[in-house]
Amino acid sequence: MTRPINQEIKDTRQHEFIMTIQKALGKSSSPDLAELFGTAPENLDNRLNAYINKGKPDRMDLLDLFIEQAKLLNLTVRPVESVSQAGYAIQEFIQQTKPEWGTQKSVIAWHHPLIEQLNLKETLDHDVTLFTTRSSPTPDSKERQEIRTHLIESYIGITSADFCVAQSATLVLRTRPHQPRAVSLVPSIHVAVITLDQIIENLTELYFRLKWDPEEQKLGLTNCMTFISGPSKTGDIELVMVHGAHGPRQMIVYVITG
Amino acid sequence: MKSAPLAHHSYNMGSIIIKRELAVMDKNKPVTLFIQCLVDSLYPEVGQAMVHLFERLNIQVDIPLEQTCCGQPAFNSGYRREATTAAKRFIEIFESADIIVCPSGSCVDMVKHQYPGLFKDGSLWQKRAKAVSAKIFELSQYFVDVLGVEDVGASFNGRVTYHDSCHLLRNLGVADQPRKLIANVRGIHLVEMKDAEKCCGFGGTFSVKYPDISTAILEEKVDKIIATGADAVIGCDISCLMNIQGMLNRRNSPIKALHIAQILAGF
Amino acid sequence: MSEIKTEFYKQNAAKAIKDPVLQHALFDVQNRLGPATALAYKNLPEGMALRQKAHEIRQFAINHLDILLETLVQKIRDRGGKVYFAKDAADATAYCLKIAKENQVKMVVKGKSMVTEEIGLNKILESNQIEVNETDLGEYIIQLAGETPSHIIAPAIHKTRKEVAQLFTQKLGIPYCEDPPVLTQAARKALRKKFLAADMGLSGCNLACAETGHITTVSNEGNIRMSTTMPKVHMAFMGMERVVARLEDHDALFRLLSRGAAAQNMAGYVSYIGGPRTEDQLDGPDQFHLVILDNGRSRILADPKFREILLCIRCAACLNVCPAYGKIGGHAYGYPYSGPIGAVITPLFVGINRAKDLCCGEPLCGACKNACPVDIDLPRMLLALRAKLADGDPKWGVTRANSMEKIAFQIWSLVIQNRKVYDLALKTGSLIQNLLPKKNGMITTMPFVFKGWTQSRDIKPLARVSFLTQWKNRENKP
Repeated sequence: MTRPINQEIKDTRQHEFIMTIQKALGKSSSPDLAELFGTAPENLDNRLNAYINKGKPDRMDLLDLFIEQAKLLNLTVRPVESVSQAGYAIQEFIQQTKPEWGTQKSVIAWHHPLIEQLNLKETLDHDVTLFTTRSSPTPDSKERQEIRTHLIESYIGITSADFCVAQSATLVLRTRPHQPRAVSLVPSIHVAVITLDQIIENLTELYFRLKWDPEEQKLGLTNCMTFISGPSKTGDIELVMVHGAHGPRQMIVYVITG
Repeated sequence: MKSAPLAHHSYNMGSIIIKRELAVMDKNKPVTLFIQCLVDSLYPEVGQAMVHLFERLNIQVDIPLEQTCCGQPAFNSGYRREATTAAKRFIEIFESADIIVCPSGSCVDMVKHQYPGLFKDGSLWQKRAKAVSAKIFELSQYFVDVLGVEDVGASFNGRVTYHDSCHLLRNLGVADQPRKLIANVRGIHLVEMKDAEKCCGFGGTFSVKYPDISTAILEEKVDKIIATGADAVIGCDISCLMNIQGMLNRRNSPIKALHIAQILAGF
Repeated sequence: MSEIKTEFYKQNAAKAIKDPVLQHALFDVQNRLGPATALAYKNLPEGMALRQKAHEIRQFAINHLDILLETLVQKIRDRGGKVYFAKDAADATAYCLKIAKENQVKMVVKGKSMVTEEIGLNKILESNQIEVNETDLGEYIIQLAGETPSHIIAPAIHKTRKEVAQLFTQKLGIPYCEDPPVLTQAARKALRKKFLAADMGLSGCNLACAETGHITTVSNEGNIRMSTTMPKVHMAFMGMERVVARLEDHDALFRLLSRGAAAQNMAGYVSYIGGPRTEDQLDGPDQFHLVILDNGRSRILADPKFREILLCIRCAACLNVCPAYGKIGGHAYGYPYSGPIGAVITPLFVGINRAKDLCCGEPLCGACKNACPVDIDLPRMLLALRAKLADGDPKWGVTRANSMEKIAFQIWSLVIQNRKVYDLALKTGSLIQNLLPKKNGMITTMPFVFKGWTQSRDIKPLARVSFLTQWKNRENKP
């Protein structure tokens, strides 16, 4: 039986390893992809339409659910009516907060269409240093090192997201050019900006969309997709919950509803 | 009566299935008692209580005199061959019964869920084992699910608590039935202990082979029983009760560990 | 290979039982997480039925492990990731060392990974002058203390805040403070330096996805994200069974894992990692290595009776309800895996005779099966292991553990086959017990192996007349 993958078994270790497994199972599994990974459900288009084309009232309900679930995680959610309001809100937030280390307020933001619209360069105070992660097509090590330095200097990282799952208050972030993973990780505070129509109900819907929505299939998960449900935390000392372990110790999501 | 603790909600699937199975059973046929080796040799008063109960309810009782043990002690220690010997004998003695009732959840679990696996798939012994499995019930299960009786006309003046035995609770799904029966005992006041569903530490030969661990688990259970202020702790498995009573006695506690048959019979 | 101390189960259990600090910590963990997990399952929209679905998903994956691993590996390689198939612990650690040396690695940051404990990775790296920094707070604490983990999810649960405060003052030089937020902040500061300077990051893999070609990592602290984002090289270790076929399988499994592990709706961070940084990306490791480990798993896979244990997703829900674990803690199990999962898998890994106390030393109460998010029948496998110890098994290299016990049960099986012989045995017992000390009618001391009972409990003597004899007399049957 021909196996369509691994046409040449260059890796003899792999070959032996897999043979051992096949011997243990007493069979070699059929590479029938339909059997292994499933076929598209019959009412696929209807389901996708229902998910994608939710009306505003439904999305507002999901926003309420998101806010409610976020409370349990010490995650702050701020609905704002417009992008410019989001910009001002972030500016205010920066005024009210202090860096964890040092005194200089530096902020690093994704290069992303929605974040561009915030017009942070204009909105932020002069004493705030703003870095963006716009990069050249194939950033060399010098460029990457520069971004890394900015990341470490910044106390706030600003990103958007691909999805927001209301039921578990989870943001889903793909990794893309100009949108490094560490912006939502290294700075002490993670600020995320999303739009209302990005809020979906639950993980079941998320996985359905990722798997069966042609747009999502085209994108794939990328080489690194991260689910973020609130700021970092730990209970490792006597099960006492502490917010702020190694990831951001504070997280705020602005949802643009207009 | 306080409703059964949260952990029990998942366990009550069993009774729904049993009610359906038994719609066809004739409730007027005599009940065959499997008395359990521990009751037979150590706690005959529990056997007496059961007989008394059935007599009060006008149910004819048949007790095969050759019965000895269901084989669980051997089985739990890994001695399957010896357990199978006991199983075969049990099947031979009890397969002609219409319905078998036993005052021990762990024995019922052994017969019901472990006997078929002792024999080769599709063999005649396995068929016979499955036939016996289908008609064996623990005492409280029999009253509530088969007979549909929750009030057996009992009375007991006192404060009691109830211990959920592991096999009875988790493998047979029996949690509400004993509580319903207890609730209808005139004069009784049931106080649920904390973690009623937690193991008492008996575990068969475990109790003598790993005595430190068994003791530690038991101590926690006994502390919780004492904390209820009850005069008695009730259970449906004499092995647990034996374990609990043993430590209560060692601690000079006046609390009695009673089998539900004794409470219901008024012993 | 991790150190094996399974022969000391009884001694270590006794020690643990006498340790009031540990007892309090264990009680706390079980009291908080046990009922909370049960409630979390109940509150699932699908209820307990989701566990059965998760079981089927994992069963399917195990039954198609060959093609799923091949699919996973191909996709990772297509993205520029490297995959190494490791037969055993030595093989896996040798590969890690090789890559570390190739990249002049001096310092490593590590997310919590049971599989790396199993292969004894830290020791190998350290003896090759590579500094290893555990970054999960619990693992960090026990690394500083020079201890081993006592719980799969909360490794330092046996340490009080006082002990952690003393440890941090001593090792980190900070002023003494018992406040968990302050202690956590100290660890955050100390480890941040390590994250940013490390040459290599090590992680485990929670559940890979064959269909998309990703491993997944799960944490609440963000330490795994840090370890797998900042250093130039990321090496992930994966037990070969830790995979699901389809992307949507994670829906059920992550919801259950989060509830089983810590009664959460969803863990704080889940990362799908499928390869190194691409040319057009600004960050992420330049190298991604996945080490897929056998180390005894294929042998388990080959045995239909034990294959089910490979469904385990290492959430520790079973630990949080086990009455035995609740008294003896993790160290008594003498190997990285403790609690009910440890009681089954450790004997299968290190030798059933060698670890016999692990699979015999619990009451078989069944709470673990009920708590398992994947509905694994742990008691069934414990019984199967006991059966091998009772009669031996050449396939698993088990010799009969206790000939005296076997003889005793053989005699027992003869006695119970004949009521007359049985009655004679009871009569004999009745006579012998007259010699035993009693108090208020209860026996207070029993001889031989039975003294284990009477060390803490009395026992009722055999009835003078057995119930069946009474019944026979009553019915006047011959």
